[in-house]
Amino acid sequence: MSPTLSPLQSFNPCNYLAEDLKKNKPRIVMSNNRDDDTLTRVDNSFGRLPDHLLIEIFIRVPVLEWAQIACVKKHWASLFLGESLWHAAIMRTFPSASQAKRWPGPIPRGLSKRRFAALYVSKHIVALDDEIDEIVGHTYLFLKEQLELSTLPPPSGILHGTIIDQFISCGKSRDVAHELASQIWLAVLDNLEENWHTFLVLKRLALEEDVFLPFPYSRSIKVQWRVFEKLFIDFRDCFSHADYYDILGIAKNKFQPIPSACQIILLDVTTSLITIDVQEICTFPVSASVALRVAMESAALNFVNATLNWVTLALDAPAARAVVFGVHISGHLFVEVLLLVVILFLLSQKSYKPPKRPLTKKEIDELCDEWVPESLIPPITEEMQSEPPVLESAAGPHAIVNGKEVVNFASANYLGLIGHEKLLDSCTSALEKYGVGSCGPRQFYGTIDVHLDCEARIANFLGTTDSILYSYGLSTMFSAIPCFCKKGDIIVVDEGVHWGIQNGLYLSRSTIVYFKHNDMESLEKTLEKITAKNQRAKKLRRYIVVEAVYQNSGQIAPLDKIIKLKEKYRFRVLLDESNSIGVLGHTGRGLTEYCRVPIEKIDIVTASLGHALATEGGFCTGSARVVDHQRLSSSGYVFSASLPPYLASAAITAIDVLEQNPDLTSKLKENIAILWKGLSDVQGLSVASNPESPIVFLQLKKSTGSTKGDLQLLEDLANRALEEESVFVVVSKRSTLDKCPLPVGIRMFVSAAHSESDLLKACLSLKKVAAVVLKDHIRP
Amino acid sequence: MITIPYLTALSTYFSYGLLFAFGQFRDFFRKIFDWWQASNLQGYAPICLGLEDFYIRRLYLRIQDCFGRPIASAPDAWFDVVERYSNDNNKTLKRTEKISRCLNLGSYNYLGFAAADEYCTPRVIDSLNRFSASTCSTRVDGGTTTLHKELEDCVANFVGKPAAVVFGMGYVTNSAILPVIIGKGGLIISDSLNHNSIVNGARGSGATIRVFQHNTPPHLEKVLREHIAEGQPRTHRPWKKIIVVVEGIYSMEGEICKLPEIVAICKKYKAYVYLDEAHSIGAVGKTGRGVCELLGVDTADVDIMMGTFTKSFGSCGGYIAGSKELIQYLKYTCPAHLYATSISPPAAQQIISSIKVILGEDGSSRGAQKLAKIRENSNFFRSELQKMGFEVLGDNDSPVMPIMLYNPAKIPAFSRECLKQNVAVVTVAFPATPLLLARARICISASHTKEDLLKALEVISQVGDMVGIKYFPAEPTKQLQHQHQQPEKETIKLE
Repeated sequence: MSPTLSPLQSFNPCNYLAEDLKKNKPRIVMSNNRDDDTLTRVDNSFGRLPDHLLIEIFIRVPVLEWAQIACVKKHWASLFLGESLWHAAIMRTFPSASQAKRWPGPIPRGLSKRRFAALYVSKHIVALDDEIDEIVGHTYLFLKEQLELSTLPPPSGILHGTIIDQFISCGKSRDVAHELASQIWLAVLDNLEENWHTFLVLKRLALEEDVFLPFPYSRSIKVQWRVFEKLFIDFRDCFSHADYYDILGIAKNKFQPIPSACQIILLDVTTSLITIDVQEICTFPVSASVALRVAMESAALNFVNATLNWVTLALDAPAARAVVFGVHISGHLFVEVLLLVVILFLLSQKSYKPPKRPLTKKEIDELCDEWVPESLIPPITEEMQSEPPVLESAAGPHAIVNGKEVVNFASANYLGLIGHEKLLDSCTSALEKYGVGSCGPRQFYGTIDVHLDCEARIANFLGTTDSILYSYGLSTMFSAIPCFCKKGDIIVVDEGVHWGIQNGLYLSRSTIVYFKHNDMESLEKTLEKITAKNQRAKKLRRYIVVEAVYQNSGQIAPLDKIIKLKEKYRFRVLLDESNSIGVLGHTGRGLTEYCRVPIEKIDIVTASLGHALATEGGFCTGSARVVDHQRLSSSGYVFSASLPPYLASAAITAIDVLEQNPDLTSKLKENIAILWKGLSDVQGLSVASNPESPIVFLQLKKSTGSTKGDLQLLEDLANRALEEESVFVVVSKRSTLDKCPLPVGIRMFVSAAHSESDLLKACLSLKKVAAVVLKDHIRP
Repeated sequence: MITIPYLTALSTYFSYGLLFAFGQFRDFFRKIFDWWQASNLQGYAPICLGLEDFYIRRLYLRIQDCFGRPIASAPDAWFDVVERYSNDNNKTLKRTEKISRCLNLGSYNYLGFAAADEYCTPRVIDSLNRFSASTCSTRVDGGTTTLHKELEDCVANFVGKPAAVVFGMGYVTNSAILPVIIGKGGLIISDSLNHNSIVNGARGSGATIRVFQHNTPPHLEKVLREHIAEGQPRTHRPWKKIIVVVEGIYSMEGEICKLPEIVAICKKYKAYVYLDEAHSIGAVGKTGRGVCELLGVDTADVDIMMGTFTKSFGSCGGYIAGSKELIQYLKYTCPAHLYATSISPPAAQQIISSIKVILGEDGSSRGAQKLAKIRENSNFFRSELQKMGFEVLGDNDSPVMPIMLYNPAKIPAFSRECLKQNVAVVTVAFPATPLLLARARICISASHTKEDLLKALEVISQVGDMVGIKYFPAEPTKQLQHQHQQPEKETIKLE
């Protein structure tokens, strides 16, 4: 046992110390009463050991013995007071303890000694899951100190809050903190010494009013129960009588509203106690009334509190320690999941709609009875009753109206083919051969060879590959347009087009854009706007729809300019040549010839046969594809009986006549020029049509302000011209369905069959009549 | 309603599926070969988009020869069908000079006025010489001649209404009148199988359109009640007016309208009745005055009576008959009256003359005979067809009788085989009927003689066996006859 016995490995301080302690026990006890010198003398060799070795030795001694060892020597006592021994002890005993210097939270960590104590407590007193947690020890020590040492400890709520805060700042979850705090409270309460001070502390805790604090700062019911339990079991004898019943009343009050299910959980701790208490309350009505009074004072608060506690407990109970994927499942998670489920359920439900109660039979009956329809037509006014003049002869240049021969400017008999011998001959032979009607649509034996001949003849005349015959002029346009334009396609159209085109546009359901009547600048702007605005426009079908000679104004469309624009903006052109076939161009091939535009540039040409060609029906021509497509898609062609064959044969003959007599068109041109010149200075009227248009359109120089007024005035003029001057002119009437915004006027259809004297007479008569009729109109 | 046999429906769908698949296949190759043509468009969108003309290119063109057969004579009981040939698989058909004389079972020549008539034709030619072929003017301008006036009076008198107005085309009559009498805020309740002209007119009017099940008055009542109670869509304002549009005889079904029931319902619910008598006027009724006469409906209960002159009268054009005020209003604002060339005077004369014949005003009983004949012919032919086991649609007395074919392949087969034996029939497929319900349509005329009809029946029966369109078992007595015919047919085949 010499100091040379230095290799520490062979040194067994434990045995040594134990031996030494056995030997020296009496001396150590004695040493308490002697001075240090004697003590140092007792064992010199041991005393000379360096401090770190001593520490090594001491920490191997059971902790319980340390107090005795500290008494042996002053130096040793100082060692025990010093930092390093405790530090080493911590390192040794609790190798997993944290070495961090900083310590968060309100409860101090203190020096190593206190830490050792805390760790010790953690391990031995409130050990949780075999895991030593330093904070637990510290909080335990803190709480114990607060309760034991201070004469007037802070309210338990503050203590509890401090503990919880400490746990939370050390990274515990709220639930764990709450759980741990409860355990620490229980541990401290269990380990309090049984003395008067403890009794006072417990009484204080019991008498403390409950402060409603949110979870987790609310003390758990278990802690409160333990306080009362301790008071009633361990400190029963300390109570004065009044105190006892006060406390008992509070206990009753606190734990009474707990429903039975929960009570059972509590009752398993101290069943007997409650039963005794209940008996006692029954036997002491006075005390019971006191208890009741107390109970009533804070009944509401307590009830809420208790219910909350109960709910927490009830929820905590089944899943107190459940862990799913490392998450502690406690009450609120449970509630949150439940809420989530409810929300999802509600979301999955259809939104609430007030139940749609169908009308009952009686209600429908009533509604049906009450409903009063408008009359089928509006009331008949005077203007609706006007009857057109009735012709007693063919509508040639001279016709008989009311037994009087009149000069007829009301028929679009441009070439004077009405009553033409060749036409009559061909019609007669066709009537004899084919009968009048075709008795069927083209697809179902309504195709007669003359139809095919006529189609070929028209195509041949205009220089196209094929054409298709319609049985009525009006239906041509409104059947052909919907064939090629569907929803989404773009149609740019002159605002002055006639109703047949308007209806076709409406039926096509395409996007329709109007431009100013016969205004090429407006057209260009419109096209520019459409192409610029709409990037998709390239993929849509785009059309420009114009009339060659506008029926509503007598204007001629500048086709060459339209073609330029069309090619620039890549639009297709639909041209209605109803009033220009047989009229414009030196051989009467229409506007294309007039403007020297090859007909291939026009994609779709339609025309009525009922004007220059003096028959009926209409046709559409263009490329073979355009024509073939219509044969199965055009409703006016597919679903209608075909043109009566005699009219088709008349059309063939009319074209023949036109080709054989090129002077017809030149005669017409001359006539137009004469009339134009003659009408240029009619009082109150101005010629609004193109000088080469076969429709001479006379407009009021000054409108009356309304279409109706204009119409009335002009009608008056026309009637007088017919009755007094035997000149049959007509006013361009408008249907209520017609959306054309152009002004109304007198429309005169010039014919090649009019003689010069007819024209001069007409001019003269109109001047005369206008002077009379428009006199009042012009003057003011 | 037509109940299509399950197996037939399946095979029809299969056929169309096959046609569609092959069509797509061919289109695919066409696209490959024609890809460079896309640049030929020079920035224009193609004039016929995508599948728009697929049906025509890939289905219709294959059997094009069954439709639109040109004729070279009047569409009388027998007519001359011009033969055609094709050098490019039916893509284009060329006419030849050859003609074959065929029995006409296709034209709407119900009373036989299509051909030259001893009473009508001279008068028609007279009017032609007097008034020429056209007036080149609209009715309100210079297009009203004395003939037009006479015609309107004559028609009003014939149909039993105070006034009438005539137009140059039946299709336009429907499609231009409906927008005039009804507009936004109105409701048009239309039979589901109404003619396209009514559909177009209704669309053009801007009114709300609802459809009731074909010829089913209870459903009409249901629709009426529902819509009166509900009012206009979205705003739920009450309707301005409701017009129920029905046809007298449905041209693709041959069914006669259940007019009395419909009129009663319309009266109850204050809806106006619009009756399109395109096929029935002149053809049915004791004196040819149409379904009203046939079914005993007072014409005063029908607000608007429309009809065409194309069918029974062998002319062209259409009329609207109604109250004086209605006609006055129409004459004031109807676009077809204001903007369209008036009806050709000879055609007008044909109508006047034929009405006179029908009414016996020509001094003979030919009209009554014609009416009796068409009725007799129709009922005989219909019952014979039914006995043979064909699925024939339509009602008795109706001169229109469709024979159901269903399968697309049977359309050309039936048509071509009949034509081979000089019987011209009309086959109707998709655009005019639902896809599944292809049919052949027979229109009987008063000009058909008994021999004509017997020949037609024999041919149709034979072809029907060959094509397999006798969907019902034949009647026992006929079956015997039928069995006798069987070996004959086989020998024909062997030859």
